[in-house]
Amino acid sequence: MNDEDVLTGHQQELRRGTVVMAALATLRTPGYGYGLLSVLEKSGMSVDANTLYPLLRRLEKQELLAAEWDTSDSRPRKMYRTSEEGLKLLAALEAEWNSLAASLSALRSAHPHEPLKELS
Amino acid sequence: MSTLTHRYITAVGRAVPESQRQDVEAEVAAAIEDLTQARLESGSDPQAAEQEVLVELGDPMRLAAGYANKPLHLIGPDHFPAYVRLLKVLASTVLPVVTCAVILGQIISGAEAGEVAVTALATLWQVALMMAFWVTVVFAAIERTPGSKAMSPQWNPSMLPDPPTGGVRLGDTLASVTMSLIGAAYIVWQNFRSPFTDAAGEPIPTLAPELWPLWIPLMLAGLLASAVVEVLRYRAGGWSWGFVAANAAADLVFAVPLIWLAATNTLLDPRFLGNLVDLGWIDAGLHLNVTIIVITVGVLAWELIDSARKVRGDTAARNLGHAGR
Repeated sequence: MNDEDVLTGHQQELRRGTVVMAALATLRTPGYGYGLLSVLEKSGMSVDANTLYPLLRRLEKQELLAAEWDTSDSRPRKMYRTSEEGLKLLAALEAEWNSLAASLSALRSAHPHEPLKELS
Repeated sequence: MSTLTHRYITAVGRAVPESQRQDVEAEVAAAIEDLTQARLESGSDPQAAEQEVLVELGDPMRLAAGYANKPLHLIGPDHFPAYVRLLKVLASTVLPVVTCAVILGQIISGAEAGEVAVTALATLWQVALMMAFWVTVVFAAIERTPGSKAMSPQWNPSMLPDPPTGGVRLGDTLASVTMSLIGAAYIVWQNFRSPFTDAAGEPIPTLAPELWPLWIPLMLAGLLASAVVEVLRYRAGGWSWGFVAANAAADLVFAVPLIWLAATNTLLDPRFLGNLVDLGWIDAGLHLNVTIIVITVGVLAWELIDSARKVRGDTAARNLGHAGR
């Protein structure tokens, strides 16, 4: 396996859970599936369409997103909005994310010449 | 809506549960519409745009699994260990028991030795296939049962298998060499000593004398070769794949002629069998041939599996020995 594959594999694993956060955060403003796809792509968190659409449905089932068919346009589209539950979950995930980031940066900044007692 | 898109939507709908079908189909249709529209706006021609969108969404079965939250594997990590363990247990218990029962049944109903051997092998194969098939079906069903994760048995340390005892075992080697030498000695001895004598007072050998020019020396060579392999293995400090291969070759040189001759009823001297029949053992030939085949196949299978199994442990023990020095 070359370095490229290793990097891509680990990146994918790291990004997997962040899509939910990105979707819940973006859809605080109501939007369509395709709109979300474009917003995420522009913001540098590009997600595959075949991952995002099924994810939206699962989040709707878990009542983290509220959804309804918008028939005002010439063709019907499903309109999503982050629910109260979704906002709570987003806050919890963000707290988790921040605490992970804090722990990681504490580990990174630990003085390398003073090995942790537990490691030796 | 073009036929291609229509077919795609139908394919996705078919792969989700009926209760969600209408909803999912509508969502997929809207998604395709949006994605296509975006491509048309950036200047693709309609056909190419549709093609690209369907390729981007990918295999409809995979997409449907995403929508319906269904697994894309037959048996997942929750149940796989239990699945493998159950297969191993069945293969080492049910399989031999059923096969032995079939052999017994055949002997009782008076089948020929060769026929018994063929039936036993066919049964072994069929039972193995059936077992693997049904265990797989049951586990695939469990995998798809909601809440089945809680059903998977909790692992605890007492379920650990015994560690392979690596390294050379003098007892194993002595037993194996002794068996080979006794076998070889018996093949020679039976030619001169026998409970039965013919009209001229000469002893009637157990094995047919016609086998001497070719078959008996071949079997003797096989027995002696496996004794030699055994001694070399002991000196080398246990099994390696080379010894497994050499041992298998030596075993086969002995076992294949033996099984073949027994199956064709040419192994035992007909006069010897005649004497046994006269003593009241009507089916002596059949019983002896089948016993020889079953024991030979069993010992052969055990030898091959056991030696292959021990390679890892012995190699580890050898490396450990080197490291310790």
